[in-house]
Amino acid sequence: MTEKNHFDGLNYENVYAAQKNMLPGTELSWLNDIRQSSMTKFVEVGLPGPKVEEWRYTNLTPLKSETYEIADKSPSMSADILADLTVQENTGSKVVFINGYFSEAHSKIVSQSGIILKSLPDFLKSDQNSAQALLSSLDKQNSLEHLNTALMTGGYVLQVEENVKLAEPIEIFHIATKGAEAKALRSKCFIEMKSQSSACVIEHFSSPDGFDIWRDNVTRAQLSNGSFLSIYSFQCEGSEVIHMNRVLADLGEDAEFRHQSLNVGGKISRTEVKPTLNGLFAKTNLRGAFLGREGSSHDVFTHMKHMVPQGTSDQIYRGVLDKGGKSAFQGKAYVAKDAQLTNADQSNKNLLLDRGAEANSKPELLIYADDVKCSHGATVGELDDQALFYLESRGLDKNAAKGLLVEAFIAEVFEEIDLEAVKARYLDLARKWLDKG
Amino acid sequence: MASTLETRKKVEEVAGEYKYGFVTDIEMVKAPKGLNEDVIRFISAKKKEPQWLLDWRLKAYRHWLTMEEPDWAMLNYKKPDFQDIYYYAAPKSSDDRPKSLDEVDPELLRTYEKLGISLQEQEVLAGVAVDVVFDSVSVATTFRKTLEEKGVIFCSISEAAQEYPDMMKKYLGSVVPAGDNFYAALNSAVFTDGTFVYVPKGVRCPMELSTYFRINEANTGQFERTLIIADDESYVSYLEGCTAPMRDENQLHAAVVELIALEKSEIKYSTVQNWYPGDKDGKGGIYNFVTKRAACRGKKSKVSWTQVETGSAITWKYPSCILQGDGSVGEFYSVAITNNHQQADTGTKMIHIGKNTSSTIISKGISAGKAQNTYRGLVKVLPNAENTRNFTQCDSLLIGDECGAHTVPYIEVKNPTAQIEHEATTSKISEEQLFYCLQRGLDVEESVSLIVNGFCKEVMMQLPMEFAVEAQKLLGISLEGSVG
Amino acid sequence: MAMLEIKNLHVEVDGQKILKGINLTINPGEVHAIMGPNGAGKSTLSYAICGKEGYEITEGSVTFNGKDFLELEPHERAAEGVFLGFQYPVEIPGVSNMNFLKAAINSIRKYRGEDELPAVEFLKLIRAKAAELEVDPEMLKRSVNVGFSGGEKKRNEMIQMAMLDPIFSVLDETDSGLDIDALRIVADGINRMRGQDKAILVITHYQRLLDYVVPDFVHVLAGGKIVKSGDKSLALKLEKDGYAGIGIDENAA
Repeated sequence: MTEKNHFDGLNYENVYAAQKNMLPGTELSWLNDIRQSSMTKFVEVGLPGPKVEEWRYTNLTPLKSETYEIADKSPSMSADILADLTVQENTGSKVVFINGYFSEAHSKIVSQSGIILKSLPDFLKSDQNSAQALLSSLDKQNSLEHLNTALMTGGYVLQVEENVKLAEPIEIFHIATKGAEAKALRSKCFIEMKSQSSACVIEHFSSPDGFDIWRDNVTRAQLSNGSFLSIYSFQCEGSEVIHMNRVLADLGEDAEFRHQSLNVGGKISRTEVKPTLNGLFAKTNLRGAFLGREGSSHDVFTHMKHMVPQGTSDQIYRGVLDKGGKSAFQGKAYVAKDAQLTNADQSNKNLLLDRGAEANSKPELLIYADDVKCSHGATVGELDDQALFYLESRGLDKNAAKGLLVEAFIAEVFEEIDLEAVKARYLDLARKWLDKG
Repeated sequence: MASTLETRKKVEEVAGEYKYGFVTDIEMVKAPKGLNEDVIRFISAKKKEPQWLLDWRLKAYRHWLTMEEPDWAMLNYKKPDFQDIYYYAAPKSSDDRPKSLDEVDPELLRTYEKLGISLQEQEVLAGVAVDVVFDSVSVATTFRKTLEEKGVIFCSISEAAQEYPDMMKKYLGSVVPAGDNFYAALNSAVFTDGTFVYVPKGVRCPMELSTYFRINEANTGQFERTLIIADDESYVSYLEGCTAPMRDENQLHAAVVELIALEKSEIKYSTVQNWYPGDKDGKGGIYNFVTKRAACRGKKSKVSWTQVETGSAITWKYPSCILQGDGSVGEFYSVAITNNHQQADTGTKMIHIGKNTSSTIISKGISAGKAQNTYRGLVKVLPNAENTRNFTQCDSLLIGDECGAHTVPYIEVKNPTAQIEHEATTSKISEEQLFYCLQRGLDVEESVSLIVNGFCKEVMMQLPMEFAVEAQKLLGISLEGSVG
Repeated sequence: MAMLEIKNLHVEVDGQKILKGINLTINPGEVHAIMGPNGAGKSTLSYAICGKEGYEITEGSVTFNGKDFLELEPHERAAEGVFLGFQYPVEIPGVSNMNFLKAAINSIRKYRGEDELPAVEFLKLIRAKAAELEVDPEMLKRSVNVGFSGGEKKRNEMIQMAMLDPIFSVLDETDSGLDIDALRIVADGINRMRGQDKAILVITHYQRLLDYVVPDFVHVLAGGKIVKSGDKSLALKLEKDGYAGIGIDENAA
């Protein structure tokens, strides 16, 4: 039975039945059991429809009417695609997924003591017990995560030992190419930061324009006491992609989690970031921008859970919507009864550049502790006339003036980033998006 | 603060914790318990209604049967048994209505005196015209003469159904359709009385209009219906106060208020809601499910909602503005206080349809004891609403560590020329402020009351003077026992 | 009888020992100054006298006019006639100075078993005090300290002090951040509080204020103890030679 207000997901049961032999780890019976039970759970709930509160701004009807099968394995890919995407020149590890499958040929794992970095399929083979433990302990999954568990083909495992600092950021590439049309590409990634460790991950989602693809990526991060993890996400999907990226982070005492994202592609894009602050003095910092025009719908959904005292969280998200673009920011800050002395801030600003643009914002505060400082702010508006006029009066034409102001608006989101190449890439992508308009 | 002290003293004298918790012993005429088409026919017949209104009620009832009670609000309560409620109760003496206040049942008048709204006193001192709704029937209307001279109609809605059928047909249900939501549909089927106001073109209503609602009879639901029409370039200020006696069981209140503002008119609607909130352990109290909505139909029309919500066990209420007329203005000023086991889910909807429309939302939520207090609001800008402006400020104050304060705003904008700003904060009373007040000689409760009053000031300032004083006292009373 | 008698006062904040045995006796008519380096515990002493929450008295006693002061609530201590001028006066949005003062005065009168001050008399009084202290009456309508400059806040403290008419005033770094004109007005406000049956405790980092408010006694507080006492010449010596000049390492405090 499908839950109220959900779409039936039965056709994916057929996909699983027909294609399960293509999935990595089919030889592992425990994994098959997990996949099977996840599929059952998914079918019980179904796909969220537009009347499900969390999905009120994103309509998944296309997923109901079409069935996205699993892509075929490992087509060839030009190395140029990779070179174009790469931010950190040749120094750190690269993990490449093509059409949802790990590509050993294109990947490069730089070994460092105290660091384990493996593709999920490799990890399933080499570290069976740990893999089983990881995949058995997936709690609180929503229906789409269950589907991901049942059908994922790619993903990686990153483990950083106590007191180890990852020398160079790791770059993860999720690339779609020919053969991915009308297919679903799923990956599940695990990051485990032991106490006092530190790491940076840069992830890219890239696909050609015109390809109808359903991308679904899940990252689960575990941050032990005093550890630090920063994820930089670049979503540059093709024009017809349904993109879903979910990040769940669990923070121990004094741990710090940062997540930065830029969403410029896809027809339906949904980014979910859900940090849970389970240790005293944990800190979370979320930054993101989404840029949309005709034919694109961006939905950023954050759920910040303060479970214990003394936590700090800070969210800044900005949207720029041109003609026909639609966006939603849904940010929830939850402060549990015992989480005294929490500081939780949230800000969402949206710029509408033209007619037919639409911005929605739902910044929510759910507060059960009294000694807290929580705030949120949200604005929607157009560019400031005065500022435009000022720039024009100094000799810029209207478009240049607009471009400058929009760039400045986005740049504020990324200004704290200390990896210069990463920051430059964010701004470059934003500029390119603007120039296309 | 002297006024708080004085009020507290009075409260202790009168009725222990809930000042208005006394029961008036008057013989009542009741319809049988429960709801079916016969009960609706009984109500309609009792009120000598025209056929069209009965048909309208029955249609609403049939629609209601197909609906589910909503569960999206952050409210936790046992759903009422709609067959265990009396839908009609009227004082027996109403069959021959009093011609003047002197003829009003003295028991009733004493009740009003206890409420602090002695009619004669108000008549003389405040110049307020009072339409008192006692359970379901309007028992005394004062100042009608003065109003009639200006052409202002101020009467019970039952009377309006008989005397002004054209206006009733045109406007009843035109802002809140009979099937709008579960509680509105129920109200449309069974509403028993309420107030009708019409202010003609160009008339500035010479006095504040006021209705005091009061639920008295045990096991009665109160389903009043208010309809206010401000014709072109008119102005009216309407005050609504609510109290109910203490009872162990929960009582249901599902009202509908419709406001229609025509060109360049202004309606100011102020509420002080002080229904019985239940006792310290959450026993009893009013379930307050109210649909209030205004249509700013005319150009440059303005509607301003001000509410001070201190009572009720459950509050479900979103006074809203549909800003259709170009240049129309909607305002929502709210103070919601919850203490002990009270729960409130309240806010507003501002729907911007016309050009150059603007709205302001100021919401102050105070949560104490084990209470849950939620602001829920929608600001929606439709594609043709050029140059829309909205400013929203939602602040929550927490007193004690067992309560909750929640903010759930929705902002939906489909026009690029809109300027929408929303800000919200949640905090507790700062130790520094408290100590500063204590050091200047105020005790803890006085200090909290003072700080809370300051916190709510922007909203309280919107209330008419005679209401503001009462409301300020209520803030103090509502928070009693929440500190220390 | 001494007005204020502090004996062997030990105070902890968040488990940290701040005051470690203060002894201080203040008689009616006297003006005392407490000086000391940053972090010496000067503000802690004023908070402990006035009963701020979180300032735990682990040892010792504070007696005011023969009453055990530590038994009283902060507002009761205020009603007994103790006024604390805050180093950082607190902002209270939405509460006008007028209402705040009226509420405070009447609350104190109630404690003392007196009737409320009639509104007319209150107005007369506050206008007179504002004029004396050169305060714009418009300021009284604004919310307590909200949007006030540093100088305005301190003047506001002086108005409150004048209105509440304490018998014992504790002024915690009231002079910090003031220009010379504001300092003169503040000093003037303090001097108005001098009298045969009144006493004042001035807490300050600099001796500047003491040029205007001349103390009878000067104490040096360092490391949670009064390490030196003397007359006004001690303040001058401090000014000239610094804390090191009297054998105190300012940074170690």
